[in-house]
Amino acid sequence: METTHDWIRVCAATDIDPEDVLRFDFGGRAYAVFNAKSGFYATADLCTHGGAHLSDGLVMGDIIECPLHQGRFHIPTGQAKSPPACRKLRTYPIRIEDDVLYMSIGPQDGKA
Amino acid sequence: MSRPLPLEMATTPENTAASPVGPMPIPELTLDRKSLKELMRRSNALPLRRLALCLIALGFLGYLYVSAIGSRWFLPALILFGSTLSLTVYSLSHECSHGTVFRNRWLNETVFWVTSLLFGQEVLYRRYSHAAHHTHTMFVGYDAQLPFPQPARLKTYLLWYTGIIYHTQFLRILFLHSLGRFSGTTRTFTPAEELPRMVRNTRLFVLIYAGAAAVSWYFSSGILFWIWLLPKLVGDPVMLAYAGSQHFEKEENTTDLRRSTRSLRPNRLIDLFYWNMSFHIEHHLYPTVPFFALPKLNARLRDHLPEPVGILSATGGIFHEWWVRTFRQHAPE
Repeated sequence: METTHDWIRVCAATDIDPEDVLRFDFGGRAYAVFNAKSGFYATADLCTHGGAHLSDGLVMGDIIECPLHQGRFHIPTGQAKSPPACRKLRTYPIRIEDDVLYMSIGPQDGKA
Repeated sequence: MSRPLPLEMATTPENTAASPVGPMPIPELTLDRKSLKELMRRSNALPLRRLALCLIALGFLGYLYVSAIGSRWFLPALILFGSTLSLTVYSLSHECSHGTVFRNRWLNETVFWVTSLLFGQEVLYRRYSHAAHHTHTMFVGYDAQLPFPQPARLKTYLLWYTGIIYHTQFLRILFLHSLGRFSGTTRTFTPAEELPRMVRNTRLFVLIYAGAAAVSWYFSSGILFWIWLLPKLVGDPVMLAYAGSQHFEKEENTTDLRRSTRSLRPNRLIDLFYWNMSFHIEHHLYPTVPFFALPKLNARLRDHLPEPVGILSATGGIFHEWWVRTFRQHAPE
């Protein structure tokens, strides 16, 4: 795993289909990296309602639907959009450089 | 098999890589991402066509029922109309609670509110209790939609199939939630910040029911009684037979959904009103797959699933299990 400052290399941008999501494990934690309608985003992978992996869910535009109970989140902001999800999902900065996706998991999550 | 954690314990803000919830993955029933994405795809046209067909069929059966008032065909027409009406309201409310019926969210939520109002269960409670049912299917003490402890006695089954348990529980929940009182179980699966919204919704439901009753009384109209209340009460036992067939007398405390859940043999006519819930194991395995894609999901998985049975065999089997458990196990050697 390569790191550039606190930016972690995730994958090539072309590894994620349009309107799809990829699970990314780092430091014992799971993250979801999205190719959503409005761009690339990264969030925590576990649903704030029931703890299922959102990377197994369905991406529709800028919405991710949890595979277990179908709670919905707005991917760019992490806002819960539909019950049973009602608590915000943590989001992480992401950037593209030479068609490679990097995400910053911040000081708290970054200390593995 | 290990017991799953209750929802409040399973929520992991630390975002650990290993999710502790949900049914255990079964390798032979696990689909690749590409196939699953295809099956999960939503539509507006397919469910709208199905809804139109369902409403036309209900309208026709309702016309037959109203035409039969005063004739010797009244009772069979009432049972036929009531059963299909009750089954439709229950099934469509269930499907919309998953949010998978229509691609358009507004449409899905509108149909969810209307059918849940007709079904008699407030929308947030319906969603959260059903979510707990999917996480902890048939885990005693955790599955919020297990209506009574198993093994059940004959009396319990009779109270279920006549609708007495169902109506009593629904009225009790409406009454308590409208007062802002919640059981410990409800608090377990409902986030605290959602409880005030649950109270508000329940009061709205009660207000609508009371308003409908008041308007009927004011105009001395029996329309709601004849086209809604009576058919629903008469038809509920059929709906409850289908609801009971999904899990009754199946294995408890197992993470293998094939052992805790029962699918029924698909029947195109029944599934018009049951919204393809015959594929119940498939639905529990992949709840994100909309009802119209369940036959395709079944085609992918059927070699690894138990042989489905008809509703009569399933219900007979439930009573057979009760009989064996009650009498044969205690018979002298």
